[in-house]
Amino acid sequence: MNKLLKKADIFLILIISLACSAFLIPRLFSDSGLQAVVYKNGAEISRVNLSEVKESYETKLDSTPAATLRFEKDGVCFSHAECKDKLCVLTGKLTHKGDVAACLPAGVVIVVEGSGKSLPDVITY
Amino acid sequence: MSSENKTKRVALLGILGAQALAVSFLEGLLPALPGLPPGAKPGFSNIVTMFTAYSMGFWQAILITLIKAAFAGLTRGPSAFLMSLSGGLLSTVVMYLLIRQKRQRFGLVGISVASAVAHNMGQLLAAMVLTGTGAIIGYLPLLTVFALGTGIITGVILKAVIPVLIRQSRFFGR
Repeated sequence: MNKLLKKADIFLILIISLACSAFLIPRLFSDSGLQAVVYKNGAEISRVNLSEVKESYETKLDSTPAATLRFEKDGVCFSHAECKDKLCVLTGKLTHKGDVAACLPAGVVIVVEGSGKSLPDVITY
Repeated sequence: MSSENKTKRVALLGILGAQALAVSFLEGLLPALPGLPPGAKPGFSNIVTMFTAYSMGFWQAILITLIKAAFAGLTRGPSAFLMSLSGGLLSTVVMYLLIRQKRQRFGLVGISVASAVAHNMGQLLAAMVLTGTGAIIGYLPLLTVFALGTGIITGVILKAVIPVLIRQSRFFGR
Protein backbone atom coordinates (compact mmCIF):
# COMPACT_ATOMS: atom_id res chain seq x y z
CA MET A 1 0.00 0.00 0.00
CA ASN A 2 1.13 3.58 -0.68
CA LYS A 3 3.21 5.71 1.65
CA LEU A 4 1.38 8.25 3.80
CA LEU A 5 2.80 11.36 2.09
CA LYS A 6 4.67 11.91 -1.14
CA LYS A 7 5.96 15.00 -2.92
CA ALA A 8 3.02 14.98 -5.32
CA ASP A 9 0.62 15.17 -2.35
CA ILE A 10 2.22 18.39 -1.10
CA PHE A 11 2.11 19.81 -4.64
CA LEU A 12 -1.58 18.86 -4.96
CA ILE A 13 -2.44 20.44 -1.59
CA LEU A 14 -0.61 23.65 -2.53
CA ILE A 15 -2.34 23.91 -5.93
CA ILE A 16 -5.78 23.37 -4.38
CA SER A 17 -5.06 25.88 -1.58
CA LEU A 18 -3.97 28.54 -4.07
CA ALA A 19 -6.99 27.96 -6.31
CA CYS A 20 -9.39 28.23 -3.34
CA SER A 21 -7.67 31.37 -2.03
CA ALA A 22 -8.00 33.00 -5.43
CA PHE A 23 -11.77 32.55 -5.23
CA LEU A 24 -12.35 33.11 -1.51
CA ILE A 25 -10.14 36.12 -0.68
CA PRO A 26 -11.90 38.54 -3.09
CA ARG A 27 -15.20 37.59 -1.41
CA LEU A 28 -13.99 39.13 1.84
CA PHE A 29 -13.76 42.51 0.13
CA SER A 30 -17.41 42.73 -0.86
CA ASP A 31 -18.66 45.98 -2.28
CA SER A 32 -21.52 47.71 -0.51
CA GLY A 33 -24.22 47.01 -3.09
CA LEU A 34 -25.03 43.40 -2.35
CA GLN A 35 -27.96 41.77 -4.11
CA ALA A 36 -29.82 38.66 -2.99
CA VAL A 37 -30.86 36.59 -5.98
CA VAL A 38 -33.44 33.87 -5.45
CA TYR A 39 -33.74 30.96 -7.89
CA LYS A 40 -36.49 28.36 -7.96
CA ASN A 41 -35.97 25.30 -10.13
CA GLY A 42 -33.28 27.17 -12.03
CA ALA A 43 -35.32 30.29 -12.81
CA GLU A 44 -34.60 33.63 -11.13
CA ILE A 45 -37.74 34.59 -9.22
CA SER A 46 -36.52 37.56 -7.23
CA ARG A 47 -33.61 39.99 -6.97
CA VAL A 48 -33.38 42.24 -3.93
CA ASN A 49 -30.87 45.04 -3.45
CA LEU A 50 -30.00 44.53 0.22
CA SER A 51 -28.78 48.10 0.79
CA GLU A 52 -32.30 49.27 -0.07
CA VAL A 53 -33.91 47.11 2.64
CA LYS A 54 -34.95 49.64 5.28
CA GLU A 55 -36.73 47.22 7.58
CA SER A 56 -36.26 43.46 7.72
CA TYR A 57 -39.06 41.44 6.18
CA GLU A 58 -39.98 37.84 5.39
CA THR A 59 -41.34 36.28 2.22
CA LYS A 60 -42.97 32.86 2.11
CA LEU A 61 -42.16 31.08 -1.12
CA ASP A 62 -44.67 29.07 -3.09
CA SER A 63 -42.65 25.87 -2.92
CA THR A 64 -42.98 22.27 -1.75
CA PRO A 65 -41.86 21.92 0.99
CA ALA A 66 -42.63 25.51 1.96
CA ALA A 67 -39.70 27.82 2.68
CA THR A 68 -39.57 31.35 4.06
CA LEU A 69 -36.82 33.85 3.31
CA ARG A 70 -35.79 36.75 5.52
CA PHE A 71 -34.24 39.81 3.93
CA GLU A 72 -32.22 42.18 6.08
CA LYS A 73 -30.08 45.21 5.33
CA ASP A 74 -26.88 43.21 5.74
CA GLY A 75 -27.91 39.79 4.49
CA VAL A 76 -30.50 37.20 3.60
CA CYS A 77 -31.35 33.78 5.00
CA PHE A 78 -33.84 30.94 5.03
CA SER A 79 -35.79 31.71 8.22
CA HIS A 80 -38.06 28.68 8.03
CA ALA A 81 -38.38 25.51 5.99
CA GLU A 82 -40.75 22.60 6.26
CA CYS A 83 -38.24 20.03 5.04
CA LYS A 84 -36.79 17.31 7.28
CA ASP A 85 -33.19 18.36 7.89
CA LYS A 86 -33.54 22.18 7.60
CA LEU A 87 -29.97 22.52 6.36
CA CYS A 88 -30.92 25.69 4.50
CA VAL A 89 -32.05 27.35 7.74
CA LEU A 90 -28.91 26.18 9.54
CA THR A 91 -26.77 27.80 6.84
CA GLY A 92 -27.60 31.10 8.53
CA LYS A 93 -27.36 34.61 7.12
CA LEU A 94 -25.55 35.16 3.83
CA THR A 95 -23.62 38.40 4.10
CA HIS A 96 -20.78 38.18 1.56
CA LYS A 97 -20.65 38.20 -2.20
CA GLY A 98 -20.63 34.60 -3.43
CA ASP A 99 -22.43 33.18 -0.36
CA VAL A 100 -24.95 30.49 -1.28
CA ALA A 101 -27.75 28.69 0.56
CA ALA A 102 -29.92 26.01 -0.95
CA CYS A 103 -33.04 24.06 -0.06
CA LEU A 104 -32.69 21.02 -2.30
CA PRO A 105 -36.14 19.47 -1.71
CA ALA A 106 -37.80 22.80 -2.61
CA GLY A 107 -35.38 23.51 -5.48
CA VAL A 108 -34.69 26.98 -4.06
CA VAL A 109 -31.25 28.60 -4.09
CA ILE A 110 -30.23 32.02 -2.77
CA VAL A 111 -27.03 33.59 -4.03
CA VAL A 112 -25.53 36.89 -2.89
CA GLU A 113 -24.09 38.84 -5.78
CA GLY A 114 -22.19 42.10 -5.95
CA SER A 115 -23.67 45.18 -7.55
CA GLY A 116 -21.31 44.77 -10.48
CA LYS A 117 -19.52 48.02 -9.63
CA SER A 118 -15.84 47.19 -9.65
CA LEU A 119 -13.52 48.62 -7.03
CA PRO A 120 -10.87 51.05 -8.29
CA ASP A 121 -7.51 49.49 -9.10
CA VAL A 122 -5.50 52.35 -7.54
CA ILE A 123 -6.39 55.43 -5.54
CA THR A 124 -4.02 58.40 -5.79
CA TYR A 125 -4.11 61.62 -3.80
CA MET B 1 -12.84 -19.09 -6.89
CA SER B 2 -14.15 -21.79 -4.55
CA SER B 3 -17.58 -21.27 -3.05
CA GLU B 4 -16.02 -21.03 0.43
CA ASN B 5 -13.73 -18.21 -0.70
CA LYS B 6 -16.64 -16.49 -2.42
CA THR B 7 -18.70 -16.68 0.75
CA LYS B 8 -15.85 -15.27 2.83
CA ARG B 9 -15.44 -12.45 0.30
CA VAL B 10 -19.14 -11.59 0.47
CA ALA B 11 -19.02 -11.72 4.27
CA LEU B 12 -16.00 -9.38 4.36
CA LEU B 13 -17.76 -6.95 2.02
CA GLY B 14 -20.78 -7.04 4.32
CA ILE B 15 -18.60 -6.23 7.32
CA LEU B 16 -16.86 -3.37 5.47
CA GLY B 17 -20.24 -2.03 4.31
CA ALA B 18 -21.54 -2.10 7.88
CA GLN B 19 -18.41 -0.33 9.12
CA ALA B 20 -18.83 2.39 6.47
CA LEU B 21 -22.45 2.88 7.54
CA ALA B 22 -21.52 3.00 11.23
CA VAL B 23 -18.89 5.67 10.57
CA SER B 24 -21.35 7.65 8.39
CA PHE B 25 -23.98 7.48 11.12
CA LEU B 26 -21.57 8.52 13.89
CA GLU B 27 -20.20 11.50 11.99
CA GLY B 28 -23.79 12.54 11.24
CA LEU B 29 -24.14 13.12 15.00
CA LEU B 30 -21.36 15.73 14.97
CA PRO B 31 -22.57 19.32 15.24
CA ALA B 32 -22.21 21.59 12.19
CA LEU B 33 -18.84 23.29 12.11
CA PRO B 34 -19.00 27.10 12.22
CA GLY B 35 -18.43 28.84 8.89
CA LEU B 36 -19.12 25.71 6.87
CA PRO B 37 -22.26 24.77 5.00
CA PRO B 38 -24.44 22.63 7.29
CA GLY B 39 -24.52 19.07 6.08
CA ALA B 40 -20.81 19.14 5.20
CA LYS B 41 -19.48 15.95 6.77
CA PRO B 42 -15.87 14.89 7.31
CA GLY B 43 -16.42 11.78 5.16
CA PHE B 44 -14.49 9.41 7.40
CA SER B 45 -16.35 6.45 5.86
CA ASN B 46 -14.03 7.09 2.92
CA ILE B 47 -11.45 5.24 5.02
CA VAL B 48 -13.42 2.04 4.47
CA THR B 49 -14.01 2.78 0.77
CA MET B 50 -10.31 3.45 0.20
CA PHE B 51 -9.27 0.29 2.00
CA THR B 52 -11.80 -1.71 -0.04
CA ALA B 53 -10.50 -0.18 -3.29
CA TYR B 54 -6.93 -1.07 -2.28
CA SER B 55 -7.55 -4.57 -1.00
CA MET B 56 -10.54 -5.87 -2.98
CA GLY B 57 -11.01 -3.81 -6.14
CA PHE B 58 -13.05 -1.18 -7.96
CA TRP B 59 -16.48 -2.83 -8.04
CA GLN B 60 -16.28 -3.78 -4.37
CA ALA B 61 -15.53 -0.13 -3.52
CA ILE B 62 -18.45 0.93 -5.71
CA LEU B 63 -20.66 -1.50 -3.80
CA ILE B 64 -19.69 0.18 -0.51
CA THR B 65 -20.61 3.53 -2.12
CA LEU B 66 -24.01 2.14 -3.16
CA ILE B 67 -24.67 0.81 0.35
CA LYS B 68 -23.89 4.26 1.80
CA ALA B 69 -26.14 5.98 -0.75
CA ALA B 70 -29.00 3.57 -0.02
CA PHE B 71 -28.61 4.24 3.72
CA ALA B 72 -28.64 8.03 3.08
CA GLY B 73 -31.77 7.60 0.95
CA LEU B 74 -33.57 5.51 3.58
CA THR B 75 -32.75 7.81 6.47
CA ARG B 76 -32.71 11.27 4.82
CA GLY B 77 -34.73 11.01 1.62
CA PRO B 78 -34.22 11.01 -2.16
CA SER B 79 -32.14 14.23 -2.32
CA ALA B 80 -29.65 12.76 0.15
CA PHE B 81 -29.55 9.52 -1.89
CA LEU B 82 -28.66 11.38 -5.08
CA MET B 83 -26.09 13.57 -3.33
CA SER B 84 -24.42 10.58 -1.66
CA LEU B 85 -24.49 8.52 -4.86
CA SER B 86 -23.03 11.16 -7.18
CA GLY B 87 -20.36 12.22 -4.68
CA GLY B 88 -19.49 8.64 -3.82
CA LEU B 89 -19.24 7.43 -7.42
CA LEU B 90 -17.03 10.29 -8.60
CA SER B 91 -14.87 10.01 -5.51
CA THR B 92 -14.41 6.24 -5.91
CA VAL B 93 -13.51 6.54 -9.59
CA VAL B 94 -10.86 9.23 -8.88
CA MET B 95 -9.55 7.25 -5.89
CA TYR B 96 -9.26 4.02 -7.88
CA LEU B 97 -7.53 5.68 -10.85
CA LEU B 98 -4.92 7.18 -8.49
CA ILE B 99 -4.45 3.90 -6.61
CA ARG B 100 -3.93 1.94 -9.84
CA GLN B 101 -1.45 4.40 -11.40
CA LYS B 102 1.55 2.49 -12.77
CA ARG B 103 3.95 4.92 -11.16
CA GLN B 104 2.58 5.58 -7.69
CA ARG B 105 2.96 9.36 -7.54
CA PHE B 106 0.52 10.00 -4.71
CA GLY B 107 0.55 8.87 -1.11
CA LEU B 108 -2.49 8.05 1.00
CA VAL B 109 -2.94 11.72 1.91
CA GLY B 110 -2.90 12.86 -1.74
CA ILE B 111 -5.35 10.16 -2.85
CA SER B 112 -7.61 10.90 0.09
CA VAL B 113 -7.59 14.66 -0.63
CA ALA B 114 -8.27 14.12 -4.35
CA SER B 115 -11.17 11.78 -3.63
CA ALA B 116 -12.62 14.17 -1.01
CA VAL B 117 -12.52 17.05 -3.53
CA ALA B 118 -14.10 14.77 -6.18
CA HIS B 119 -16.80 13.82 -3.66
CA ASN B 120 -17.71 17.47 -3.18
CA MET B 121 -17.73 18.09 -6.91
CA GLY B 122 -20.04 15.11 -7.45
CA GLN B 123 -22.37 16.35 -4.74
CA LEU B 124 -22.46 19.85 -6.19
CA LEU B 125 -23.24 18.43 -9.64
CA ALA B 126 -26.17 16.55 -8.10
CA ALA B 127 -27.29 19.72 -6.29
CA MET B 128 -27.08 21.66 -9.57
CA VAL B 129 -29.28 19.04 -11.26
CA LEU B 130 -31.75 18.92 -8.34
CA THR B 131 -32.17 22.70 -8.18
CA GLY B 132 -31.53 23.41 -11.88
CA THR B 133 -29.31 26.26 -10.68
CA GLY B 134 -25.69 26.54 -11.76
CA ALA B 135 -25.03 29.30 -9.21
CA ILE B 136 -24.78 26.66 -6.50
CA ILE B 137 -21.22 26.07 -7.73
CA GLY B 138 -20.39 29.07 -5.50
CA TYR B 139 -20.16 26.54 -2.64
CA LEU B 140 -17.20 24.82 -4.29
CA PRO B 141 -14.21 26.88 -3.01
CA LEU B 142 -15.35 26.69 0.62
CA LEU B 143 -16.19 23.00 0.37
CA THR B 144 -12.83 22.33 -1.26
CA VAL B 145 -10.98 23.96 1.64
CA PHE B 146 -12.99 21.70 3.95
CA ALA B 147 -12.16 18.69 1.75
CA LEU B 148 -8.45 19.51 2.03
CA GLY B 149 -8.60 19.29 5.81
CA THR B 150 -10.79 16.21 6.00
CA GLY B 151 -8.86 14.50 3.18
CA ILE B 152 -5.58 14.91 5.05
CA ILE B 153 -7.11 13.63 8.31
CA THR B 154 -8.75 10.68 6.53
CA GLY B 155 -5.44 9.70 4.89
CA VAL B 156 -3.64 9.79 8.23
CA ILE B 157 -6.36 7.75 9.97
CA LEU B 158 -6.33 5.19 7.14
CA LYS B 159 -2.58 4.73 7.55
CA ALA B 160 -3.11 4.18 11.28
CA VAL B 161 -5.95 1.66 10.94
CA ILE B 162 -4.56 -0.31 7.96
CA PRO B 163 -2.99 -3.00 10.22
CA VAL B 164 -6.34 -3.54 11.97
CA LEU B 165 -8.25 -3.70 8.69
CA ILE B 166 -5.69 -6.14 7.24
CA ARG B 167 -6.03 -8.35 10.32
CA GLN B 168 -9.82 -8.25 9.89
CA SER B 169 -9.46 -9.25 6.21
CA ARG B 170 -7.18 -12.18 7.14
CA PHE B 171 -9.92 -13.50 9.37
CA PHE B 172 -11.93 -13.85 6.14
CA GLY B 173 -9.04 -15.60 4.37
CA ARG B 174 -7.75 -12.59 2.40
